Amino acid sequence: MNALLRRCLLSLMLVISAGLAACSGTMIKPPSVDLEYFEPLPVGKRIMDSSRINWQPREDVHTLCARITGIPITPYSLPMACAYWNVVRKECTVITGREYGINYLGHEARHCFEGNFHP
Amino acid sequence: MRPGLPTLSRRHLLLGSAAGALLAAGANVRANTPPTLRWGYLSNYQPFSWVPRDAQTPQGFHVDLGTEIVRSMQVKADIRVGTYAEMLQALRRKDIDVLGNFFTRVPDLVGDFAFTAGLQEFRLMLAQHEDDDRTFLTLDEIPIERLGLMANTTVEDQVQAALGKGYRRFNRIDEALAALAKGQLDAVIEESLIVEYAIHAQKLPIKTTTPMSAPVRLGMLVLKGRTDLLEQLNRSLQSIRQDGSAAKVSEKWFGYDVTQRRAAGTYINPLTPD
Repeated sequence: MNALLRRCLLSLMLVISAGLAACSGTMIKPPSVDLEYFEPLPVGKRIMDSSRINWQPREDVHTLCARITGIPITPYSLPMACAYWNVVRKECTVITGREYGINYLGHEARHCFEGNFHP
Repeated sequence: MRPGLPTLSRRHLLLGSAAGALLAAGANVRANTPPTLRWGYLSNYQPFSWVPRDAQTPQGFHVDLGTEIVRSMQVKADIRVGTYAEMLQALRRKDIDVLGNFFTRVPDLVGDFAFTAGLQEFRLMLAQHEDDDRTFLTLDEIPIERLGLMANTTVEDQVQAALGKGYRRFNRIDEALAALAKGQLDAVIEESLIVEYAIHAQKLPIKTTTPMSAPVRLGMLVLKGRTDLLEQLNRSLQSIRQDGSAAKVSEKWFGYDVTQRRAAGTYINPLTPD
């Protein structure tokens, strides 16, 4: 199950990134996000073992995610995507940009199961 | 006037410049905590600490956390209660050692007091009916006449500055949430834990949804210079987080572990070449 989840997320990101590049007439250099395998947490250690995920691609992703995460917008930091969740409801909302948003979807979806896993 | 947390909420939200420096700089000070700590709580700050009618002792989330901290420190607590002004004065006069409620680093506190590490976040959150699947990421996506909030609070000041008037004003959060539960509103904006407590305690058909402000960490107060006490409190806070007792207290009051973050994100440094 864990291996399947891991491969699905990685495959989804790679396939759609490649698709975006192939479909465009211009040179696209999508940001690289989580191109390495990760080991999902055991079910008992996740914040949610199942989650209803609501994906919101938005033009105003930077300001929204700055507000939601507290990561400031400065010359040195630009929030690119974020997730927030409700463990009681088992619901999670992922916000990405419209452009390249799919690159971040897998990473943010991981937050929906594992919470704030960043070191 | 807002029952329960009138001025306190206003003080919390003043916190735009909240990034106060951590004060303690203890250099191998030998621990010298008295065997009994004089521990203060606000008397009217539900659900964090309040004295119910006909009761002698306070109850609430912060009171239960304080009990766990005291247990972890292996000391006894002599508990005092009072208003916000009374408790700050008691700290300044050294009539109490710790103010066991968690506060943001507002300017009128950072001068005299040191803050412990935090256990919970403070932020504004939207509440919606549990059957409502719409996603409101900004306030202007909500029809203004269907947005409810507490009157005479900093929340109202902020909403009014952003949207103008036309929203529904309530004198009590319970009234706003009741209107939301009946479908008379699309959303209520309020401090997250106030809403979470009401949902949990009253089993309301309501859910918290979008964070509407950045998270701010809170800390308990001690008088500046009590470096040894501050360090011991911080060690105990870490201990009750690690041994699960903070999570257990949290679940009692809110139905889930509010000491864990509820949001995360990814950022880049635009100046760094990919």
